[in-house]
Amino acid sequence: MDQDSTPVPVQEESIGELKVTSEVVGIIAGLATIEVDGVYAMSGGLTGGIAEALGIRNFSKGIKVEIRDGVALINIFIIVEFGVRIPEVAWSIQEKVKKSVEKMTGIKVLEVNIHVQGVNIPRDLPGE
Amino acid sequence: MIDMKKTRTLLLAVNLFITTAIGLFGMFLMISAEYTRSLGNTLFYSRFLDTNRLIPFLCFFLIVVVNMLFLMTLFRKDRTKEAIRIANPAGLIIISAQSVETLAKLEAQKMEKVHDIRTRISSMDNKALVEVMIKVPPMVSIPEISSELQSRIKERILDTTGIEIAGVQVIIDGIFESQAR
Repeated sequence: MDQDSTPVPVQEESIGELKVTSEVVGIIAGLATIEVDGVYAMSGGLTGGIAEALGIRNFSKGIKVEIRDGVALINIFIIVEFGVRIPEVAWSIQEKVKKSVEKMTGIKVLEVNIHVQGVNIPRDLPGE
Repeated sequence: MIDMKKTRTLLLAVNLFITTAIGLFGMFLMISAEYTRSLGNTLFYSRFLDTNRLIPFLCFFLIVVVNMLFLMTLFRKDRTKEAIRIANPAGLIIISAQSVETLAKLEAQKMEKVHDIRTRISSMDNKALVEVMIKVPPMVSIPEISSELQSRIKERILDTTGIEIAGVQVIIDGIFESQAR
């Protein structure tokens, strides 16, 4: 995952500095995403799949965070359930992610882009 | 940024090629010269590889296979660009062509008289055009099935993605012969 791990200063006060890495933003966004109804899984690519098979839980799987000038750009790669309305699901992910990232870290979220990488195939479908 | 990625891919490809070549060369070496001369003979008498050479041979073989797999993933057509894009105030929604294909396929599978479904997105320029290849059993009305399939797929994609597709092309690939006869 192309995430730079340099901490980003959130606010500078007389007492000290608060810095948050993009990794943390990724985890917050990941946790917020899975909670949304209609999201089947995160799509983490090949390396994510291998890590998962080895038993490594990666909460920022399928999330790419870019922080430029103190504003975050979040890309989320998901697999949706069959039968959901993608625009609605995407909208609730965007709202939830934006809200929780801004609330927990104080970093402003400029954009949340949702990449629908696949649709989950339900097991109980008639046919082949 | 994009250039970096390209060079990285290129380097990886070159690397994989070299290791594949080494693997093939190793495999070749492990088959000794006198045997290669009459390969057919030795294969027949199963003296192709003795135990000393078998393990290294298998190792080299494994290297070649793994490399081939990696190379295949590298040169697979990059389909990330083929996607439906929807903009909303909070950002973009990008729905991959593969997702649309799966949607169409799942919808088609719900129908009784449709078999061996394959779906493809043939153009993504402005509006997506979905191509569905199916097999139908004999003694059914193809126009009826096709129009039902078309409307169902169109509705499903509109319902799920909120995007109207340009159309659904149904291609009857053949007649489905059931196994139980």
